[in-house]
Amino acid sequence: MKASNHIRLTFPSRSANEGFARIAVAAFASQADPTVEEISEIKTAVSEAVTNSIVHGYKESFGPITITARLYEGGRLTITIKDKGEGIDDIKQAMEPLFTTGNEEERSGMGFTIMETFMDKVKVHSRRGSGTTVALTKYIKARP
Amino acid sequence: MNLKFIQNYNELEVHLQGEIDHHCAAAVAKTIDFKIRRHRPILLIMDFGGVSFMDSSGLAIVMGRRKLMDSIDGSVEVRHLCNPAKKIFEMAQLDRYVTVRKEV
Ligand SMILES: Nc1ncnc2c1ncn2[C@@H]1O[C@H](COP(=O)(O)OP(=O)(O)OP(=O)(O)O)[C@@H](O)[C@H]1O
Ligand SMILES: [Mg+2]
Repeated sequence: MKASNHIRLTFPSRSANEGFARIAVAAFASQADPTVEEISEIKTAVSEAVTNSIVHGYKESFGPITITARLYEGGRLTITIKDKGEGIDDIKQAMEPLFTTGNEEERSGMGFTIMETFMDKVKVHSRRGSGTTVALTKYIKARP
Repeated sequence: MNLKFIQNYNELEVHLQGEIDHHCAAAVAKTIDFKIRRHRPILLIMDFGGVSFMDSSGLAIVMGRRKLMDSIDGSVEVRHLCNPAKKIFEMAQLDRYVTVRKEV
């Protein structure tokens, strides 16, 4: 099905952009009339994926992050967060709760679990050396 | 993110206000740790009542402070959690490491 609307934004992997990214996607999603709870779930999931690109994808470097969000009729929202960073070797292991390769003072290995809990679908494509794309889907229910 | 501290006897209360993400996390941790080292409280109370957004970076902030409080034989209590931060704490089973006050 063709998306009824979409946005695409690209920004450098600076942590100052984390707030901008989640608010921009939330503002776009608001066209589907989500509840306050749905909006905060979308914001949190986007924040997790963007933070992962910044801290894991571009660990010692900086690079572009591209977010594409699409809204389909019936309230299906898809969001992809793409980086051209290091990539992930073992995606299944990376998605396990509490698994982290990060600094344990700063990371707890819960990012993917949070995305999976707050969104209806989470898909990860990644190749070592060429980057990671996280695709999130949420169905925003119509309200009377 | 804004932090307000209240010190009463051997308790240190920190009121977190605003958005908690990776961007502000290191500064938040550093500021709270500075206060802990200075006052050496028995109990650190972290009040999330003013938090409008939190992601997994908030978990590491709590776990890191609990580690520091442990090292001075103190403990941590978390207050006024509401969704989605509350759900995130539950996913990570943080109540195994810190006291989560039951709100009435
Ligand atoms: N964009 C990415 N590029 C490279 N590696 C990634 C990326 N996203 C996730 N990973 C890998 O997957 C692991 C798990 O990610 P997840 O978000 O679940 O936990 P975390 O980021 O380590 O901790 P938390 O999200 O709780 O702060 C990361 O530690 C990292 O090894
Ligand atoms: Mg993460």
